[in-house]
Amino acid sequence: MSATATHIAFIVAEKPTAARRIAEALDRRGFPKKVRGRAFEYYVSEGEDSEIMVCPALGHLYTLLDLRGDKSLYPSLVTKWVSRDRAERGLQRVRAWIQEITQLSKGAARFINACDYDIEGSLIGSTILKYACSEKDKTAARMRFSTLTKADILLAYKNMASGTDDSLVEAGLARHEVDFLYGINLSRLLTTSQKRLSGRYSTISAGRVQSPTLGFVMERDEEINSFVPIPHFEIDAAFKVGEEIVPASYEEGKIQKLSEASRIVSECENSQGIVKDVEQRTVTRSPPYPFDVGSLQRTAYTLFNLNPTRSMGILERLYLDALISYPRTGSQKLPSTIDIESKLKDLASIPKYSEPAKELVENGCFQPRQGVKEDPAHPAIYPTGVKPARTLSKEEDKIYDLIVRRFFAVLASPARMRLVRAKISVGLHLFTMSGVSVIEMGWIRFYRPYIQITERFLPALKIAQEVGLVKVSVVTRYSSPPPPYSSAGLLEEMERKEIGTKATRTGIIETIGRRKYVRGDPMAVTSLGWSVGTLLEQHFPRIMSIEMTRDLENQMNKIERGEISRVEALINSAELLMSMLDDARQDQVAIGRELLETTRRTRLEETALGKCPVCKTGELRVLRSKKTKKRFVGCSNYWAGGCKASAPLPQRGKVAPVGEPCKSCGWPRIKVLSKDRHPWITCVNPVCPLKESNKI
Amino acid sequence: MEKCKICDRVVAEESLCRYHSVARRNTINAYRPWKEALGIAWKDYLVSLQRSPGCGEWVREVSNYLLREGVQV
Repeated sequence: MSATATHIAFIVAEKPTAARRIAEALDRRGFPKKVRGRAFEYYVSEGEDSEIMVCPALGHLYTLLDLRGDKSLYPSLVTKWVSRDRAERGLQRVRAWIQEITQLSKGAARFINACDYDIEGSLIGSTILKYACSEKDKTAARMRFSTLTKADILLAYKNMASGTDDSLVEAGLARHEVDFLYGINLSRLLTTSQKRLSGRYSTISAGRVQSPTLGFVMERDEEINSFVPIPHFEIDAAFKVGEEIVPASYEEGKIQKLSEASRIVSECENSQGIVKDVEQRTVTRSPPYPFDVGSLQRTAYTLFNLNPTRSMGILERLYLDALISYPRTGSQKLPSTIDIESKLKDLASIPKYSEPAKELVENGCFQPRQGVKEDPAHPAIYPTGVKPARTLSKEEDKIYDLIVRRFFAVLASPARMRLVRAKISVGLHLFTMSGVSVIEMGWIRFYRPYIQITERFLPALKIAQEVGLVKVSVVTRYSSPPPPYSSAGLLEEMERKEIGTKATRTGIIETIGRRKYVRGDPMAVTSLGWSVGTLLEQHFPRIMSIEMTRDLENQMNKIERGEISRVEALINSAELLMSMLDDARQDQVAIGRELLETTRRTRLEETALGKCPVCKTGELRVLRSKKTKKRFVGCSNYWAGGCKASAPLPQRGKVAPVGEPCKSCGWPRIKVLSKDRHPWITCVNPVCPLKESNKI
Repeated sequence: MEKCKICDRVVAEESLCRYHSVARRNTINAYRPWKEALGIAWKDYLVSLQRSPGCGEWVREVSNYLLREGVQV
């Protein structure tokens, strides 16, 4: 089947679910014809005056290919956009997909890009229209919508802009091309430097945004690892007021010397307190801002421990189900074009939101608190009011509920609290008691359970009243290091330093984890990460600097605004890259040597299991027998000191040290992870007494 | 290439790598506020660091090294 004269319009959607929603919205009866093609299902809708064919993409169908081909050659500056199956292995499906799009689009009179309205969406649609649909990218129209609801899709179809988003597409192309050039050239320089010395091939990667992001984690890790806590002293006290024991703190706060703190305590001991002053004031807490994607991901991490990658996946599913507006937004504003009253009324039909939604409608709360950040393409994230058509998974439900309750909160009135502070004198020293109570819940009531207010009531106190001092003591405290970056915290730092985009940041964080440069969440830099990062700092200081990345981001933004051309930006970037490569080429032998050392150290660390309990000086490691190729545990002192400690290992699955040695025999314990069974922990000692009694 | 006495990395300053050098500097600089706060001797300070909450990993390694080597300030 191809688009015949009756199929006047040919629409490209970003994903299969989006294609179905668009087709349903545009079909007069709401039931478009679903056709099972060779590669995918597409839809034919009966529009008001013509038939409309809606075809899905599968995200990016086109990508960049290095035309020099040989992966060891650099610099490589000549690239070409090709179908993804030509650049990556195992993507035959993409080839079939593109062929089908080409076939179906033949004969269509009108072409429409209906992919997500952002840089990536514009690029996905534009490359398909250009390469699969005979260069229709220049004449195609663009549908712009922020939700996949029927009303928004119909409006976008009606108000469709002619001509694609040239500047967005140009910015998208430039971003991909610059990142590709930096990525392949720097990674090749590192990889080949090492290969020349060792003869072994192992990928060492670097990137325009990836490397400074690794730099953030390194900087924080360095602060934590080289942190010396400084002691200080506080004085904790408690007074008896009536029947209640009320805690109080020394008014001066931190005391630097223990002798000073001890003197204060001894001067206060066995004395009475006298109320000197009672101060009350009312404070107002404004509602929170509407969610942009970054603040939502951070909140989801704090509340549900969902990392940004997982929360983004959930947000995409909720968007494709038309339950929420487009999530990849940088805006914290809900413009007046959004009919808030009708969204509230729709939400009132969902039982668990019925009461708060009705209350907001009855009170005429339709003016949201607006945030600071803006995004010209999309508003802040809000619920569409559409009822979920399927049962949401636990995590989806949590995120959806958070979005709905946040939407309620931004519409509600401010909260008001009463703060009470009482000053108590004990001899020459002053202590403070404080209390907090809620006068008016306001938005807090609508945002529960995602905010908790702990009220602390002070008993009634009069000036000159005597209160008994029941406790006074010195507490030693230490200054604390900054916390390690969580994935959500790192995302915030990237936003703050303006590197990457809202669409790419989550992926970059995932990449540095996949490359084994960082581990865990909160994150710590691995030995490999330290070595590669240090090496980049030494030989490519500019790639690790935020200034260079930010400067390149500014150039992308300028392309988006039509202030400079893509070619101009590419030439600037290529010149900068070439000068970096020239500088580093002189140090290639040193780079190779350092990387060789790095990989050797990393390999040693990866195979280390723990201290040898036999010779007490060596380290037990995972080794491979040259003869049988089987792995086993052996001591590092075997050659040097002749320690013969050894033990067999399971031959299948991944082996990782647990950290704590076996309580019974002192040998290291390992965790074995294999595909066909649950992870299990065991002591490596084959004659461990605990193992024999089957207690491990 | 001379290796760091603690971690095997390349030496940056006085037998220690770049990271352990920073930790050593911090350890030495922090002795003064510790001494003022607790009237503590250098050796006791290095021992106390091992048990202090929030003490960095490199600082622990450096304080161990300084104890072992008998370094005085």
